[in-house]
Amino acid sequence: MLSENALSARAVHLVPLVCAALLTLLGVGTLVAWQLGSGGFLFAPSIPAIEGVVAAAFVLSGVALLVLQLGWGRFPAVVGGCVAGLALLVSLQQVLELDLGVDAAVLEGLASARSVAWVSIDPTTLIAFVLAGTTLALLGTNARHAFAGTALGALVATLGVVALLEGSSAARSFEWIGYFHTTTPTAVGLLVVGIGLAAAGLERREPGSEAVDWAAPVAVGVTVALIGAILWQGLRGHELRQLQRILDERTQTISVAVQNSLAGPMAYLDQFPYEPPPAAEPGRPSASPVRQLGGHFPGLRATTWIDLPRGADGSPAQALEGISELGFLEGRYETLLESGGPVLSGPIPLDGGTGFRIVLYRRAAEDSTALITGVISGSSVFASLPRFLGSGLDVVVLCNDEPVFRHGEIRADRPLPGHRRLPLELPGPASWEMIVAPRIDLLDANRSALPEVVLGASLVIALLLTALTRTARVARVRARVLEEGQQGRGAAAAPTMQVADFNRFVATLGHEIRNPLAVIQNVVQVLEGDLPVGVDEERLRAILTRQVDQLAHVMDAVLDLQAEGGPEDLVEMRDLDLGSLIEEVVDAANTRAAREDVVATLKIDEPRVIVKADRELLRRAFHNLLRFSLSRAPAGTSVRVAVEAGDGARATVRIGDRGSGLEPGDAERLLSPFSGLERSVGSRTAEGTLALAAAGRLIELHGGEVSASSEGGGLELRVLLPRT
Amino acid sequence: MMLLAAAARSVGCRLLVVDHHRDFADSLAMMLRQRGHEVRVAYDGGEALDVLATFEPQVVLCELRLPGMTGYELAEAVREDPTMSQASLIALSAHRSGKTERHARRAGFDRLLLKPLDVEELDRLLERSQFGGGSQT
Repeated sequence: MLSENALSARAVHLVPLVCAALLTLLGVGTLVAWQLGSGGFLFAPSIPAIEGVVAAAFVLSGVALLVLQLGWGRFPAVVGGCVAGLALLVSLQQVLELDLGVDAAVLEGLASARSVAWVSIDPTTLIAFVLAGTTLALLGTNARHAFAGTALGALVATLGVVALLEGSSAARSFEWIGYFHTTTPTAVGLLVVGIGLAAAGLERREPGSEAVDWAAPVAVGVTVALIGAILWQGLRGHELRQLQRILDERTQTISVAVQNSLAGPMAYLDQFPYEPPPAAEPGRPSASPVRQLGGHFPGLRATTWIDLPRGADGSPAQALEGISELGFLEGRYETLLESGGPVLSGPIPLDGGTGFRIVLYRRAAEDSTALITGVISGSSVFASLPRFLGSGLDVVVLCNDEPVFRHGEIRADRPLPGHRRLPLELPGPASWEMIVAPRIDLLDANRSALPEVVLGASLVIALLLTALTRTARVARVRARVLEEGQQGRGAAAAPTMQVADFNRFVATLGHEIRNPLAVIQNVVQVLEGDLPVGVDEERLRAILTRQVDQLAHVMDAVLDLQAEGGPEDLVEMRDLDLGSLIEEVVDAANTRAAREDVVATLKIDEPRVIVKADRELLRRAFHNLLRFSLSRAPAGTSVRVAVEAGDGARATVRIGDRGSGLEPGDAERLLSPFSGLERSVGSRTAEGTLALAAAGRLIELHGGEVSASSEGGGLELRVLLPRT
Repeated sequence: MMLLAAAARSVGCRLLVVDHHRDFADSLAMMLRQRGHEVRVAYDGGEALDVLATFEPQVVLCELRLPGMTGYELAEAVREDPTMSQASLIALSAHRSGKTERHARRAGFDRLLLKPLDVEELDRLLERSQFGGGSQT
């Protein structure tokens, strides 16, 4: 039972450590991958900087958990605060678009490509990090908050499950998918954070839990680690490779389609030889310089001849004024004359308001100022493109670095990670380019939901298992307490206190409070008159101080014995050297002795006896025991304290005085807070028994036991504590 | 109160205080000396018997719970001593119960006073012991 307890405590202690290691690895791995420039495509078309924030949060959480488990004071509280603060800042940044040193281009990218942006830093992740940070802070500041820590940790884990399930299938078809969708590593990371925190809380909640209680958390940890490894190494990598291949194929197809769409009309327009306009007849107004071109090409419309007469100063530009059909030229005339080939006028909204119009024009002949123009509409030539584009790709077509066609939210000057940029082969001196970027639905359409479903299901099962084992443990403890109550061994199990026990407890408490009160009253009486010879105020003050100290000592014992909010809530176990702790207690007793006529001596058999204990609680326990022995030691004697290695598994501490021995049966009663006076009429002294009982309970909390014996005269208190 | 104290001071008793609780025994002795009594202190039963060999108190104030010899045993021993037959034995206890009181009377105590002490009652008892004294069983 004992070794089992120690083992389970160690295992529960281990779970957060494993989680911490996993988190740190995950976070560092992400950061390294990001730094090495494998691009956002490593996980998703995510925003690298934000992915970096998430990774940093993972590293911080991992380190904080590690430190929390190793027991380095309040450091986890600080780091927990940092994690929560980081998450809040990032969310603020989302809302206010504050520049936090993240690449400004990335931020604009976020604004313009909302769906992609939210994938990387969705509210689920942010909330989870706020919760995780708070949990760490709580666990770091006070073990009393362990329950809150466990609950919040469980909530973080649940959010991780939600993130996984939401991202997997159900929400994929909706517009708001981005709000809940997170990348798999992030979701797995959240789960690990949650489980680690929950286990850390669990350990602080129940220092002496049994094997079945740690089995579930360990199972969860192992499951997560295994599935995480599978996702990481296998399925996810496979998925990504497949996505890369799909992206390459589609990019190729689209570039061919775009090229053909543009090259055809250009070649068609090139076929037309120049025909001079009919000569103007004298006396009649000159005809419009715009003439319809004969013939027809699919996807090409409004094909025209435009004759540009020169103005009085020889410039064609002035002659163009007033010709409404030529508005689209907008000062490009000079460029046109210089380039002598097809140039682009830029996108113009069509009559219907949909798509784009590209006007291609060229000089009709070397020495002329006439133009041939043709209008390509987005809804005609590019009609075939949506078939390719609808499946998750955003496209921009550029001519001479100017966007002429755009599908989706992509921006040419700020392409998203994972994009492809490739030149288009088209006739003429103008340079043509195309940028293709994957959208989240391309990833979604090609993602396998199976791993997430398996992970989610196994986690739900593990959580259920945890809940069931906890319920079973509660039932078991209740049964044991009841059993002990029936056997009349109420020792440290305060909840089983019966009415008779309560009466005896109150009687004992009354006795222990009345003694110091009586002394205080005597001193008050003395102070009311003239001080007797040989009595000075300093002596009276010393007496009063001792009584107040005694009252506080009694109240400490009462607090350590209370059923609710007792020392169990404060336990924070760590390895410590029993010898040095006892030495501290003995030194304190000798320097702040209630009596000057007795002294405590210490003998340490083995230099290092390591036990897992809460230092403060264990110190209090030994303080109570030693104080009891000192209080009953005859004047001029000493109380011998000995720390022994014990039988290997358990260390022994003996505290022996040379006071009167005990009557048969007294030893057992001595350690019960209910011994009272009624039952112990005839026993030599009952003072300090509350503190003694409190010590017994504190020792039991550490898996040890206290016994009393009076063989060979005097009273010997023996403490057995499990060694680490 | 002050009047009573003054009265007691003028007619001092010989008192023995027995209590292993040193601060209580010492502070009670101070208070009683202040009132003009002659007080001796013993911290356990054996010490008390030693004092009684040379000192003949009119009143013994004795805690019931003592290490070694209990207050009850001490009272029985005192009652067996013929020189002490007129002495007034007052038991002191921090615990109040009918059972304790009966037990104390059986052992030979005249009264049982509860801690903290009712000072006026103590003064009255001491005054009575001074003028009439004796066992009141």
